[in-house]
This record gives sequence, C-alpha cells and structure tokens, in this order.
Amino acid sequence: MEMRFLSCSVLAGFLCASMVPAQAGDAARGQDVFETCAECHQIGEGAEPSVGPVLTGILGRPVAAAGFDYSDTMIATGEAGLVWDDATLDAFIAAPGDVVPGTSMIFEGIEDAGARADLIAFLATYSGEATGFAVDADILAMEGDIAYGEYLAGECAACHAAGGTEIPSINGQGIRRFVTSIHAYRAGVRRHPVMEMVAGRLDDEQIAALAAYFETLEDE
Amino acid sequence: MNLNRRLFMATSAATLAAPMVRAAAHAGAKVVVIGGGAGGATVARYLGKDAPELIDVTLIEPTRKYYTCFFSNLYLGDFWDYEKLGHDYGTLASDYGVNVVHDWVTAVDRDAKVVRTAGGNAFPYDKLVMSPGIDFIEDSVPGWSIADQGRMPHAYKAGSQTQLLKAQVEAMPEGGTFAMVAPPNPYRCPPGPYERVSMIAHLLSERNPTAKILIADPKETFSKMGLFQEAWNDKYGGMVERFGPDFGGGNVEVDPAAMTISIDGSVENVDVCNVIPAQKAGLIAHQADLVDGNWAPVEPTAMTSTMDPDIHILGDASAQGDMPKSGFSANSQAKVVANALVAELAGGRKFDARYANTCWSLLGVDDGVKVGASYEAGDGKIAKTTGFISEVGETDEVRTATYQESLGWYAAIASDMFG
Repeated sequence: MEMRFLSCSVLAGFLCASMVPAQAGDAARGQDVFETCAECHQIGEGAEPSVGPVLTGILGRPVAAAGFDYSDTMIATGEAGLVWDDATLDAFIAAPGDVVPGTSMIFEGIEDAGARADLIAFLATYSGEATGFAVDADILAMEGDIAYGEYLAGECAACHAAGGTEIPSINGQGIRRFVTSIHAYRAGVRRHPVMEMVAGRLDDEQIAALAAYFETLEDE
Repeated sequence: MNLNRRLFMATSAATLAAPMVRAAAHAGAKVVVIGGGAGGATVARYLGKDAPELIDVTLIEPTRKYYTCFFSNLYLGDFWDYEKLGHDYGTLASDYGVNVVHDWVTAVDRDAKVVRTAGGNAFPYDKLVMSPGIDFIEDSVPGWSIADQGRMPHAYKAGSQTQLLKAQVEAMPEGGTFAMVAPPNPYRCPPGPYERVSMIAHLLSERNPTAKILIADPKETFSKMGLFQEAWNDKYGGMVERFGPDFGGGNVEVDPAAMTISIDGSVENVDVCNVIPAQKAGLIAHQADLVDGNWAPVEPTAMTSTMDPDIHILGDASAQGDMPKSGFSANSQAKVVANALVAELAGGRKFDARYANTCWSLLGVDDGVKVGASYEAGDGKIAKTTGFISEVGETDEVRTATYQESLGWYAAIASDMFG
C-alpha cells in the first residue's frame, strides 16, 4: 500500500519536474561533470557497482535494473515502468532527493541545465551500441527541414514502421538519439550493412532533416 | 495521436487528423495509376498522404486482394502462410482517399489523356502512372505457352499459380523430379528462382528426401550465386543439379502433355516443371506504345516516360538502369514519382531523386542473406552508387538476424504500400 503511494508521488515528482527533453549537450564537457559522479559511480569497461550502480547502458534502461541494492522508492519507480531517458535523467539529476524521495543517492543535484545536458551526453556515449561515440553539439543543434525529412523518410519507410518489432520503430526517439545513431553508422562505429549504406549517403543536413521529421511521429 | 502530416507546400502546412474516412478529392488535378502492386499502391498512398484534396487519385487494379510475389517462396517452403501474403485495398480507399477501381485497363488514349477499361469505364488523367509489372515473352520456352500454366506453372505472378505449384510439389511421388526452367536476364527478382529452389529443397528434404531438383539455366551466373550454391551443398547435399549454358541450360524444350523436359536434346521425365519464361513489360505498356524493345524507357529523375511527359512508368515494366526489378525498387521509385507529381500538380517542393533496393533471400531455416545498393539519377539512367552483399561463411547469428530483419521489412513495406 505504502509502496504504491510512494511510487505515485515519485511519478508525480517526475511529472512536476520540467519534462522538456534535455538540451543537446557536449559529451567532452560532460566527462568533466562526471568527475563528481565518479565518487560513487563507475562507467565503461571494468565498471563495478560501488556506492552507486554501474552507469554503463543507463540511457534506455528501466529504472532500478542494474544489479544494485536500490532503495525501496527506486525499486517502486522501476516497477511503475519508468525508464531512464534524456528527460527523466535530467529531472532526477537536477534534484534526486525531491524527485525520488528516499533514494540512496545522497546528492544535492546539479542546478545548471547546461551541465546536466553535457553529463547526459557523456553518459549516452556508454549506452546503446554507440559506446564511446558522440556527436558534436553543433551537429545536434542543427535545425532540420521537416518537409525535406519527410521526403527522405520514404527510404526509411520500406523497413521502419511504427510498432516495428524485428526492425525497430524510429519514431519519436529524440533528436540526440536519432542523430547519434545515424552518425555512428556513417562513422563505421555502429555496424550494419544496410544502415551503413543508408547513412553513407546522408549528409549532416539530411540527417538533421530526418531527425526533425521522425520527432513529429509517435512511437506505438 | 498526433501524426503531423505535412503538405509539400512552400507556404502553409496542413494537419490530417486520423483516423477518419476521407472522401476522394474531386476538385484537384487527376492522377490515374495503372497497377496496384509495389509500385502503384505505393504511389497512390503517397499521393493521398501528401496532397489530400489537391490531387484526385484513381488506382486501377484487377485483383481485389493482392498477393505479394515477394515472400511467396517462403510459403512454398512452408515458412509463411498463404494468407499472410494477401493484402486488400480497403485502407487506401478509406484513409487515403484513393478511388480504387477493380478493373482491367484495355487502352490508354494518350492524345485525349483517357484510360479505358474492360468494364467499359473511361478515366481522364492529367498525369498517368503505369506500374503494370511483367508479362511473358511468347514462345521463349519452346513447347510452353500461357495456356500450359495449369500443368507447368510459372508462379511468377503470385496467387493461384503459387498455390498450384505448392500443391504439385507436395503431390510429387517419392524420389520424383522437380524441374525449373530459369529465365534469361533481365527478369523480375533476380535471386527469386534460386530462393524458390532453396525453399522447395527444404520442403522436399523433409517430406521427400530422395526427390531431385533440376535447374535449366540460360545464364552463366546469377544473383547471390555463391551463397545459394553453398547452401545447396551444405543443407540439401546432392538434391539440386543446375545445368548452366555450358551444359545446355540455354537449349531447353518442354512438353506439358507428356511432362518432359529436354535439355540440349536429352529428355527427362519430370513430376513438376516450373517454367519461368523470358519477360517483358506488362502488356498495357506495349499497347500504349511506351516501350522500346521489351521495356519502357524512362528518364531517371522522376521515372517519366521518354515517350510521353505526362506518363510515369515504374517498377518491373520500366528500363530502370542499374536497379534490379524488385518490389523494393518499385516501392522506392514510387516515392520519387509521388514527390514529382505533388511538386508539379500541387506546388510542392521537388527533391532530388534517391533510390535504393535490398533483396533478402531465405536459404533454409533461420538462414537469410541479402544484397542491396543505393542509386541516384545518373547520366540518362538510374546509376548505382554503393552496395553490399552477405558473405559466404557468416555465423548462424548473422544469418538468423538477416532472416528476422526480412520479416520486419515485409511488415513495413506492406503497410507502406497498403496503409
């Protein structure tokens, strides 16, 4: 009973916190920000749980799922279905104790939105398949031509559909994640013959256009 | 549900609230689409999606339910249900405002810009899109005509022919012979006949392991040849025998009454004979005088017929440069055509043509391979830019992933075509 009540207020906490997706951050600056976190968290190769859980793969991971002795509130939040993404991480890092009351993460939070964005960009380089790969902030900040993106998306539509299973949907995944994925394929960091071919003939402007267009579509 | 649909307008944007039934537009420019397959259905949907109310789209397709030729081999191999190949046109009609007409086009009057049908109707057009697929070249396989398709099926237009071929394979006597007469280039779906052989070999190896498969092939090489041959040796050891042109594969006669095949004069009894004849553009393209030889020439920036600026021809029927004849290619070309039509008829923005193709083939259980390339409008033809192909000796994980991916493609392209 109490658990459910707690998780309701936690979810409310996330909802109250600004849920605007984090602004595009700079992963290199984020590495400096991470030095604060490194007192309790490890990330990357050889990382092990210490005061806090391992943060490798945190972007896209369900809350409280990294093999750690989490607080009851954190566990309840995870059971309520929350996943760590740009927005939820941003809200949490801003004020951990407010957003997840009773969290074991005794940390006052990072007030500066730019610093949080940089940190999240850094964390993202250890998530998904683009481990260690990050895109420059000015690339992420490029404004996409949505109508052009819609035309270019015709090529994607042959394989990517909303609610896709064997081939994932690419709707509404966030600009950062979309742009980083395509750049990672283009750089040969992320491997897949079809995607490498597709990405190989997209320039930065076209990738921005596609990202902007797919952001207008809902995932199912 | 916010699906923001944007018109390719230089000025305003419009939103289409979904779902709702859209009446076909009556005030706009008229586009008639002949053929409701991978090319035609896709064009119709994109026009309906991108320029509702501005372009009046009529799609003329004889079949009420379209059975895709792509993946029909998987049904032959017992990997896919027949009904999963079938798709109807209801959503195109209800959600995209396409006027779907189930009829057969008998004539195109290019001067009056009217399409006439067997049902006695006349459809005027401002722009015509033709995606009629292929027809067979008469007498290209001595002894066989279309009248023989009931005994020696081609199954190269999916539907009842595919069901017939499967039933014949299943009814083969123990140790019987399946023969295939493979077509000369160019033909639809380059790896198709060989995927079919793989699928039938799979079926026979389970049900009739002493049966034999012969291929009479006029071609030296074929798409993904190394991959197919590796699979035939490893999985179906000894069952498949291919006679290339050096062994008389180009000198073939068949006798449907006697159920024999003659390869370079040597006659063999067969229990099933899959004749895949040489191909040409769908008949309507010939009837409308839009072909040069067997195929319809088009200029590559928008698949416009070189013989008539108001007609676009796409898919298998077109002479499409470096692109293979495939459903994927037709679907890809359709989007370039739709963009060009919206630009010309509704003031939208025209973007540079971009084309792509990927062909997946199933070799056996969880063993998929693929080949693909990207293309652009080159000098007078569609030109390949880069490509890739699966490799011999890939791990099981890669082959399984490739097969799984093909399932995702099928689901996506089906909804891209039919909504």
